[in-house]
Formats: sequence, structure tokens, C-alpha cells
Amino acid sequence: MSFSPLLEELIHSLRALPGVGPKSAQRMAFHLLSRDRQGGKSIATALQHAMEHIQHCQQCRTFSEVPRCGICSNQKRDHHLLCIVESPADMLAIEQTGYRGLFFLLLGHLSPIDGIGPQDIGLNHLQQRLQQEVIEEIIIATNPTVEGEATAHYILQLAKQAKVNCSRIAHGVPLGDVLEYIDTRTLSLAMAGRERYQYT
Amino acid sequence: MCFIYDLLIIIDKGLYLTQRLEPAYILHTRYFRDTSLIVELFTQHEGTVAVLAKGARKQARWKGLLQLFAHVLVAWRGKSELPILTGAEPGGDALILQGDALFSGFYLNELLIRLLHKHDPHPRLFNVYQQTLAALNQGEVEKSLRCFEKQLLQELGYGLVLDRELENNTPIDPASYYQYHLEQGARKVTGTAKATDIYQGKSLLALHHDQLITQEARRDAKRLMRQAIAILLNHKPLKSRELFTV
Repeated sequence: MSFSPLLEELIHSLRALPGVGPKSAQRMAFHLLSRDRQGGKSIATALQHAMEHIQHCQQCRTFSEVPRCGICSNQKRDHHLLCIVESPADMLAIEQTGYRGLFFLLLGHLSPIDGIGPQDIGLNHLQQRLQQEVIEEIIIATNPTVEGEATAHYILQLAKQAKVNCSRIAHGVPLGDVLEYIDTRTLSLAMAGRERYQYT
Repeated sequence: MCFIYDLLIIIDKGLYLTQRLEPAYILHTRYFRDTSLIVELFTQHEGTVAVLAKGARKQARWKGLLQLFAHVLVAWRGKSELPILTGAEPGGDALILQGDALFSGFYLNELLIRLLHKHDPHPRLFNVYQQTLAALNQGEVEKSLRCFEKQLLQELGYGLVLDRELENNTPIDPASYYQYHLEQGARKVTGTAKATDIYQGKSLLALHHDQLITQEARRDAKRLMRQAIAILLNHKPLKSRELFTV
């Protein structure tokens, strides 16, 4: 049995969402049609507006409907400090720590086997920014994976070229965890990056 | 219901315990659904294999372990295209490649993924890979890459003859110049023409004996290997080379 063409189209379109297979798409479509038409309509309008108006901020590449996002155009923030993160979610996480500088979003990490090279994550754009703006320090906050490490090393080289100071967030043991269950690599990095413990 | 679940776990564990753990290196991982990973492995006895690590992105135990270049001992189950990873344990010292060595590691992995056929065993190449990673970790980047490429070509059946001439089988003379036909071998040429496929005898011999000491020998070896590998890749560029562009 096949559904009506419009319903088929809806189910097919819902499958564009990550983790949604044919069954879930079907369930979502039926739910919206039979129980929540209003909700369905507002999803449609929100999607329509978002897809038409949201672009990337010209400076930090985050999603924004204006050419320069709220963070980049905020004059109260420290414009000499630039934190480099992989995704908008990482940006939000860093923002919650009380960081008051600017950001640069890669929207991915270097992964040559997936066909993702430096240009694909905007590193040429970053290179331009480092040369044109007065940036005193860049803070690399890529994920602690091997790909994140490779990305960090590439950025370090760009910083060196532009003669900008470069730092990187520390690797270590999560708060509230016990050492016994920490994997060896994390622990060896935490040992290597240990800090002087002194009276304050 | 709970009892059946426990029983299933016991059976699963039993299977895992009776399975031989296979030494492997992780060549590549990619996200699958919300919590799983597809892991491309280079195993010692079964060549390259892709397995599905269910829930690997949530389990702390696997998250730290299933990282690129990690040496692991693994077991998997199933005969489909994508068998399920049932066990993974650390296989040796945690090797942490950094800087150029890390970029070179990506290059090795890209070569293996693109050139080896899945499930074709290459135990000798596995050892070479292991030694190359160790050498990269100690900073011998260029020399170890060339040796790896040479052995890779040999393993795939495209080994280069670098110590003898093509036609009369006479030993290569260090001072003479040779034109190198990748599918045939070296042919002596007169003079010192600067064509892209002309090499001095001593460079060919240096590569043959894995003794790339001089700058010139390294440059020549790189040029020769690039041409040889480009043919195997059908001249499609390698993405990992872009990492060396800064």
C-alpha cells in the first residue's frame, strides 16, 4: 500500500533529519497530521524562515541572520582574543564558562579520509583574519580527538606565520571522576600537562 | 525478561572470551547514527576491515580507545559487510603522534584505505605500518614515509627494481643517469637531462638500500614515489597532502 503523494513527500522529507529512518518519519508525519496541525504549521514556517534567512556570520562563521553576529558586533567583548571551536554547540559550551572574547567556528575538523581539508573548514578565512585584525592570542578549543589534534596543529602553524600567540585548552581529568577509571591516554596527557601546585 | 537479558549478556561475553583477539590499528572512524561509530581497522591477519562499534560514542571505555592510530586488540562478530565489534582492548603503548608526524600518519591511513582491498591479508605490511608509526613518532618523517611507500608498492605487486637496469640487468651505476619507467624499470640515458622521470643512479640505490641520507636522494625518492603512487590512485589527488601546505 502506498500513501497519497503529499503524505509520501512529507515522510520522505522528514528523513533528511539525522537519525530518522522511514518508520520514525512515518510516525512523525502521522502525529502532526492527526494530533498537532498547529505545531506542524509552525515548524513549517520556522523552517522556511530559517532556511531562507540564516547565513554564516562573515567573521566567525556561526549561524546568524545578520552579516555580523551578536558576539562579533558586541563592542564590550575583548576583540583581541579569539577562541577557535569546532561547532556552534562547542561555542555555547565555552560561552557558559564566562569567556568574553570572540570566536571562530570551523564547523568540522580536518579529516582527509572523509575529504575534509583545511579549506573545507574555513582555515583560509582564519588565515586572513589573523593577518588583517589585531589579535593578541588565539585559544584553540578543538575536541581532544586525533582529528582535533591535527586541526590544532594546522592552526598553530597559521598562528606562527601571522606571529600571533597561541594557547590551547588543557587536557585533563573531569571533575568528580576517579582516576582508576580514566583511560591511559587521558591520564598520561594529564600527567604530562601537570601544573605547579603552590600557595596562593 | 531480565533473566533473558542477563543470559544474552553471558552468551555474548562467552563468545567474546572464546574469540581470538586480533591485533589491529585504527585507520579511520566515522559517526553512525546517534551513538555508534564505523571503525576502519587494519588488522594483522585479515587486512582492512570495517566494523560497527555500537554505542561507542557513549561508552567512556571505548571512546578513549577507538582513536586513530591506536593499537588495539579487537574481536568482531558477523559475516556481513559491516560486522559488529564485540571487544576492544589496548594493544600496546599509547602512541601519541603530534605535528608533522600526525599529518604523515593521516597520509599513511589514506593510502591504506584507498589502495588495499577489504579483507585481503597483508601481515608483512602490517609490521611495516607498525614500524613506520614508531619511526614517525621519533621524528624520522621523510625517510620512513618513503620506505613505507616502497614496501606498499611491493606488497601490491608493483615493486620497483631499483638496483638493476631494465634491459641487460647490469647493476645501477651511482654516477650515471637513468630514465625510470614505472611499469618497467631503469634505462640508462646519456648526459644529465632534467626531465621529470630522470634520476641519478645514486638516488635509486639510496632508495633501494633505505639509506636516504642526502637532501637530493630524498627529493628524488619523493618524486619517484609520487609518480608511482599516482598511477595506482588513477591520478586522483590525496586529500592528506593538503595538510602540508602551510
